[in-house]
Amino acid sequence: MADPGVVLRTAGLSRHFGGVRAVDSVDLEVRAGHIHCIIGPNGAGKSTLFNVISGMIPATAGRVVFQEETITGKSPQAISRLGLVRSFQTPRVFAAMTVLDHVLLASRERPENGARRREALARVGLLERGDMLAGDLAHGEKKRLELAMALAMRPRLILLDEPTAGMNAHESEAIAGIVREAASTATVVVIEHDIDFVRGIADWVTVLHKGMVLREGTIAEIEQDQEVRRVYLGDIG
Amino acid sequence: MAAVVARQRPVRARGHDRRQIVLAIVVLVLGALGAWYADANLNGYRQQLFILCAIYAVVAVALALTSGFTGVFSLGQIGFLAIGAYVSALLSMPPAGKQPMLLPGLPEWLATFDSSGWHPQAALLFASLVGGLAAALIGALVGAPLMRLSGNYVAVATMGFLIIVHSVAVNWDDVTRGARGLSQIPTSTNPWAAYVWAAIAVYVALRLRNSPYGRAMIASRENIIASRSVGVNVLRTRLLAFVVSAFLTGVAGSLLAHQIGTVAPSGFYFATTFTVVIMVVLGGMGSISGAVVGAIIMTLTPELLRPIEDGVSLGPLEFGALYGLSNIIIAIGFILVMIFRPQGLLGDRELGLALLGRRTPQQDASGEDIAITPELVSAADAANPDSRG
Repeated sequence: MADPGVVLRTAGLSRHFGGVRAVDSVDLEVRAGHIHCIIGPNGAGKSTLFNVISGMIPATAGRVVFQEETITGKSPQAISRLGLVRSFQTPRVFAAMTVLDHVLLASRERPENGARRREALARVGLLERGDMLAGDLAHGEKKRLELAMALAMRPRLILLDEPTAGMNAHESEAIAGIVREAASTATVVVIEHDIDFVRGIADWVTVLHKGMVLREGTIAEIEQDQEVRRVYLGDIG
Repeated sequence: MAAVVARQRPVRARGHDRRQIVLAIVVLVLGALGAWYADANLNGYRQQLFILCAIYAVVAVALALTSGFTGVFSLGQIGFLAIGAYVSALLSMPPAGKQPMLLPGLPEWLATFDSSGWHPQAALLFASLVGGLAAALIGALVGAPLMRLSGNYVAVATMGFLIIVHSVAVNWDDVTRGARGLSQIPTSTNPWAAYVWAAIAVYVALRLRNSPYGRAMIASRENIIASRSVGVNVLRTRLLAFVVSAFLTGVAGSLLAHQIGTVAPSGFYFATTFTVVIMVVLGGMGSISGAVVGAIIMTLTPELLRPIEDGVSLGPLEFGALYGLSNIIIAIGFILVMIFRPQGLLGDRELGLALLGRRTPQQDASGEDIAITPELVSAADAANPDSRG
């Protein structure tokens, strides 16, 4: 019997590249309304896990269930239209398009409606940048534009791959506010290295190591775990 | 800062919108005046030049739709020009020109189809629409597998399509009369018909670009992975551009066939392909008005330079006949543009008429100004640390 509180579940999810097991039999449950952080050392398989869940690369084995529907093998565009959207570690915006066009593309609003794109741009602080080309934005603004696109799609689940990468503490704080606010309407899964950021937002934390789930728990539990400290937190602490 | 934006934006947006409409009307009226002048006052040669400019504007805009918007570089565009030309020619030729003795492969209904009793412009419109639809149908069949490809692969594959069309035109003697081509096509393309189709092509391309489909096209050109992650169906998006482009090019083929009265395979091959590619690259790959400018330049320049091939005198200096000089000058000009302005004359930007279909970024597509409420402003300030203070 499926747990109705679980919005995303992976079962035995694996992705191998030749002999490399980038993701290895990962069983993950993401509860609706949570901010679920995934942490782990470089090469732990975090981004590969996102790529498999979002349909960017096929799974070698296992399955992904989103809102009681198996989405393994579906195309990225089909998955995003189901309400599972993602951002990338390196912001992938469309340089020749304006900020507003990005949100229009993502929102698919009818011409007479403007609420979603206005709201999405306002939520990430880019309302004043509407007619700028995305290629002219600063790095942090591109990350926020990706967030705005995700929000404009009115998703049920957002996967954010290192949303604060390359940002200063001030900008990270603003992103944390946006993520917390996004969690009021959607479930959010965040890959992040900045443990202070994770401490500020996470309801639940999964630690990946060598493609496998090492530990799960609250941030307090994770920070106390000796094995996690040995393989990850000790390194960055 | 936010308050200033809230005060200024609607004023600027309304002014911008008015300028767009005025510019669009001015350019449309100028074009119509040009068509009227060409129709009423120009001699046959200059009138034909006006028509050629308009026809090639349609082809260049159509190519810009595929290559400029979606980034799928098609070298098969002239194949659709040929399909439109041949299909429309077979419809418009009088039955006397389609007798079984001349074209034994034609089905009877087509061989006996006679539009010569119609108004010439009605017959041309019918033939052009059917020619365009035939090209669009072939475009859908060819595009379904080809639009999965990217980069050089799609360029080579579409060139393969052009070679197939050319081979069919040369060798299907019973229907196309092979290398001799078809004749007796009514010469009903006048400046008005050519101008109206050029205006339609520009309008369709602009509306398409500023629609959700257009945004999806540009997104898929810029970054396929990111566009798929926001729900863009890249194959369907590219296919739409390819089919619309094929339709417009097919219509242009019909206009061309009905301008010169004959069609032959030699007019629909590599030379024409590269001329049209140069039109689009010269004008700017992402610009509709750039494609029009490129088409006009590439159509008129050879004609303007042609007299110097017969010899020139510059003061005391006398130059004899220099055949091919105009082509060399055009080539040098093209090389210079590519060196000093590789993005083309207009790049991704548009001239005045292009603003006809362009939505003001600060406005809703409905034309209503974005209402910047205090709630939105405070949300923006909270999310954007740089805007504080």
